[in-house]
Amino acid sequence: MSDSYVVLETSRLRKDFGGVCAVKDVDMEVTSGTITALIGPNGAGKTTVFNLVTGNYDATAGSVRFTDAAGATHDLLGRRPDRIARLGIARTFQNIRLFGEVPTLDNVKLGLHSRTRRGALAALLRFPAAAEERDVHDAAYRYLDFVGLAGKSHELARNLPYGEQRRLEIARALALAPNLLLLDEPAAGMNPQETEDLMALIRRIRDLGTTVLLIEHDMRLVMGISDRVVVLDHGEVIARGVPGDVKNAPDVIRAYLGDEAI
Amino acid sequence: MSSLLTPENLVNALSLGALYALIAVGYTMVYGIIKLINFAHGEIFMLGAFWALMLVGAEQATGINLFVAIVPAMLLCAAVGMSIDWTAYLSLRRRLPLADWMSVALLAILGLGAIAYKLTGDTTHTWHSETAHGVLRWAVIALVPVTMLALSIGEKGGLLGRSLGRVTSDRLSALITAIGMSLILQTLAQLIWGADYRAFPEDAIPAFMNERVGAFDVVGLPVLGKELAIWVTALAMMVALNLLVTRTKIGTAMRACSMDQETAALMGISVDRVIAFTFVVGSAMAAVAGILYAVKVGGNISFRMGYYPGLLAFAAAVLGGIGNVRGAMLGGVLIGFVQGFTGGAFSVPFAVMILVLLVLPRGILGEPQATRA
Repeated sequence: MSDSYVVLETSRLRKDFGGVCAVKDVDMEVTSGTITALIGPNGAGKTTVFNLVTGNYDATAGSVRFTDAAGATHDLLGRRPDRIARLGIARTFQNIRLFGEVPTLDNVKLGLHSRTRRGALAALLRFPAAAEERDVHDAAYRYLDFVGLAGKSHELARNLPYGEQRRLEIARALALAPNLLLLDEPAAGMNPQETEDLMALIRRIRDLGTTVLLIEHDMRLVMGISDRVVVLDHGEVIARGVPGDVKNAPDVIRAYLGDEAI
Repeated sequence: MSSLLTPENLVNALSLGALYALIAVGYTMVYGIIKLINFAHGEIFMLGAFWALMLVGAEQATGINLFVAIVPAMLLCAAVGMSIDWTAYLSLRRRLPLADWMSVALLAILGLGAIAYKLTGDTTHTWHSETAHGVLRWAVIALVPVTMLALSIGEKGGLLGRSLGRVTSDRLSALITAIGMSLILQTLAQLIWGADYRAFPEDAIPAFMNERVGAFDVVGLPVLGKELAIWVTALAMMVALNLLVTRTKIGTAMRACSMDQETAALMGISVDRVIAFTFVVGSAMAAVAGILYAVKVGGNISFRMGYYPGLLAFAAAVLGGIGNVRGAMLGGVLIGFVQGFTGGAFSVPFAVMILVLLVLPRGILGEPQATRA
């Protein structure tokens, strides 16, 4: 980690929905090679920040800057989601959004889509060469194996148990070879053992060089694997730092538990 | 009824079915991805026949073979289809102020161009007064959707959308726009090519097209060369389309977009490009259908020719399960058969569609609606 850099930087990021300010002047930095957790009470604006980063929402004001694996920095605001995905940001969803009617392996192949095609229409139209098709197949299989779903490559995504669907979504996101992976409540609905496995998986992802930014309510997971924690409340950053410091910050306790808890 | 079960009707039914299937896949592919009934699709079919007519020569044969003319006609129709998407529908999807103004500007140019064309006078052939009245009537009819279109584009469905409040959904604005586009294209075609019925010149059509195919006489079917050409072309295009959708990358992207556009975009798929490509493919197929239909019927090329086959193909797409490509092929053949065996009745195919939908509300191959948390 000697040459770490800032992968994602938001500056005075703001999003209004009508008269409601969901995200207010958020300044946030995500350093390469780390796991950063974005936490906060329900409705704090965490998922909105994700949607601003991935281009699903247009920001009202501010900026989002992203540095790709090659070291080039891009201004993300105003870019379309597919462009941002191709720059190297992949995500999962709070409510799982797999292509349910197709096999798990094909879900991962769709993640590989942006990498295997060459842009030109001619390249899209041609039938993939057998060798290339085999490469895609093998790569997709490796990602499934990485998240522990190698044995389920032919099952329809919607037939997988909930925890496995979450892991499949991670595999599909990883197939984009992202420099930054956004995970929106990856442990939601998981039992303690599944959460434990997930923590190990997220650590492995980081160790292989993908920076992780995650939203999570499970504090055991957050405190267990995060290098940095950013706390949002009512759309504003109220605390940031290493997990130990954030855990005891008065503002954080007040946001979660109310004034009486101090 | 038994008098309707003739070999002639069987041949006719097969040809109609093949043609409706070719048009229906265009409706269904677009619907599958952007949930829009592209009512302008029937006009693409009509334009296909007109482009081919221009290429082979409307008054005098240019010497270009009709089969050679099919390819440029397909390309032109593909371009028109894509332009319709970019000018009319894209701005509704993306809500880009710039795109809104661009489409208003384009419509203005189209309108002014049409008026200028009319004023400078079409000296090549005379218009009798009935035609002039027809033009006027269509222009007025077209004004209504154009105005609605202009009012419904923009943030939150434009002026129309805001005044109707929540009643006007994005999809409704798009649907009205599609109807408007259909009428604009019909009117433009009438302004450019007149209201007369035209036919391909005799010598542009290869001779075998109007000769009996001997091989079919053995089984007692009176098959003309053109019927066989329709079957072979439609079959080849259906197979090609199936391969495109299931085996190529763009086909995979199309399927991903029809399942979940937002997630597809996050996989790095350019949704707008996929949608444009869908219009290109559907329009090219409709162009082929338009040309073959004009060859089959003969002397029916007019600005109105897309209306009825377009409506029937739409019924076919719904019958097969809208959004499902194979369903559209099946629906097209079924509608063709119903019409063929009822001696070309206009209403019976729709009655059959309604009856089938009573039992299978999502069409024959329609999938149950996906529920999303």
